[in-house]
Amino acid sequence: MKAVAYPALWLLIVAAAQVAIAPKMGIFGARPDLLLVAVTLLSMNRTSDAAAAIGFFAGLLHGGVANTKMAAFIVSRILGGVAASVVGRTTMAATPLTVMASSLATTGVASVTYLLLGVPKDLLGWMLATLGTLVYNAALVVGVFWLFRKGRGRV
Amino acid sequence: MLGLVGVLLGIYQSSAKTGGSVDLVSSGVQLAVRYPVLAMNGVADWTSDFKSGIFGANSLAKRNRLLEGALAQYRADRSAMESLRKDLAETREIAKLPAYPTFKKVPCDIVGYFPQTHRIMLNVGTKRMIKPGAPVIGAGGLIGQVVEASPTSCYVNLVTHSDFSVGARVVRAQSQEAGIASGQAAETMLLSVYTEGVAVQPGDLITTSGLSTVYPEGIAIGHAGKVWPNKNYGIQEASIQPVVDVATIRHAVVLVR
Repeated sequence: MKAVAYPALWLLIVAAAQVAIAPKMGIFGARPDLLLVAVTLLSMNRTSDAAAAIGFFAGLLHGGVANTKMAAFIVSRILGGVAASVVGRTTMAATPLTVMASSLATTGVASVTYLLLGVPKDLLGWMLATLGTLVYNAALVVGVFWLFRKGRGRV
Repeated sequence: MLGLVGVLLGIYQSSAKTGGSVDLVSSGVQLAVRYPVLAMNGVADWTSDFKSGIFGANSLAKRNRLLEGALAQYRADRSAMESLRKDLAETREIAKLPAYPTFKKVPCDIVGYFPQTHRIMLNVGTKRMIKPGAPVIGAGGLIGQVVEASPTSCYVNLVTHSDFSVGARVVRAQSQEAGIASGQAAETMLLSVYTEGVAVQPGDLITTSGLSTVYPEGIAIGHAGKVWPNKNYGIQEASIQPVVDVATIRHAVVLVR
C-alpha cells in the first residue's frame, strides 16, 4: 500500500506545483516540467512496470490539470518513466551524473513521443522550449536529488 | 495496456471538450489539486509581493502615484462617457439600429497557466454563468476565450492559441481597416488585412472590430510588428505582439452576456 501511496502523493503535490509554480520559474524563456522531474526520481531504481505506472499517473495528472491532450501526456510519460527506469538500472549507482542522464532520457523520450502524437504548429518554437525544459529539468533533478537523497538515490 | 487506457481516456476527454465541458476524470484531477494549487499560488504571490516590496519600493510608489493620477482622470471622464453612451443608445434607437450588446463582468483569479498549450485556468465556472465562448479580458487588453467550463472553473484559450481568431481593426487616424487576428501557437499573433494597400504599419494598435456579437468593440489585442504583403491572396499580413503578458498577471474578467 505504501509503495503505491507514496509516489501517488508526491505526484499529486508536484502536479499542483506544476500548475502554480512552474510557469513562474521561467529563466530565459525555459520552463521546467516538474512532473517529469518527479517521474525521473521516482522511476529510477524501480522496475519498468512500476515506472510505467508512475508515468501513467503523472500523465493522467498533467493531462487532467491542463484539460487537454490526455492521451499524449499519458503515453509520453509512460515511455519517459520506462526510460528513467532503464537508465537507473543500467548504471552502477545513483550519482548526480546518472540522475542527470536519467532526467535527459526521461524528458527527451517524453518530449519526442509527445511531439509525434501531435505536431505543434510552431515547431521551431516548440523545439527551443523543449531544449530549455531538457536543460532546466536536468539541473533541477540534481538539486532535488541532493535534497532527498536516500540510500541508493531512491526517492 | 496502460497506454491503451491512456488513449481511451484521451478520447473521453476530447469528446467532453467538444461539448465545451470538462470530463469526469479531469474534473477529479482538478478537484484533487485545487487546494494545494491555491495554497502554492498564495505562497508564491506573497513571496513575490514581499520581494517587490523590499527591492522595488521606489518603483512601486512611483507606479502607485501614476495609478492614482489615472484613476482621477478616469473618474473625471466617467460621467462624460456615461452621458455619451446614453446619447448613442438613443440615437441608435431613433435610427432603428440594434442596441450594442451588453456584457456582465465577472472578475476572477488565474489559478493555472499552461504556456506549452497556450491556455489558462480561471477559478469561475458555470455556477457564475460562465459558458464556452465568453471573452476574457485583463490588464488592459484581450486575454482569450473560454472554451471549456466546469461548475467551479473554466479553461481559456489565449489569444496566441492556434485555435483562436477574432475580428480585428487597425487603430490609426488614416486607417481603420478591419481584418482577422489569429493565434499561431507562438508568442505573437498573425493579422490578416484584406487590402493590398498600406493599411498597417509597425506599432499600430490593433483592437477588436466588434463586427461579431461575441467580442465587444475596441478591446486592445496588441501592437503590429513586422508587416508584409501576401501576394498569393492579395492581402497584407502582420505579426501582433499581444498587449497582455499572461505570465505576469493574476486576475482577469470574463464578459458574460
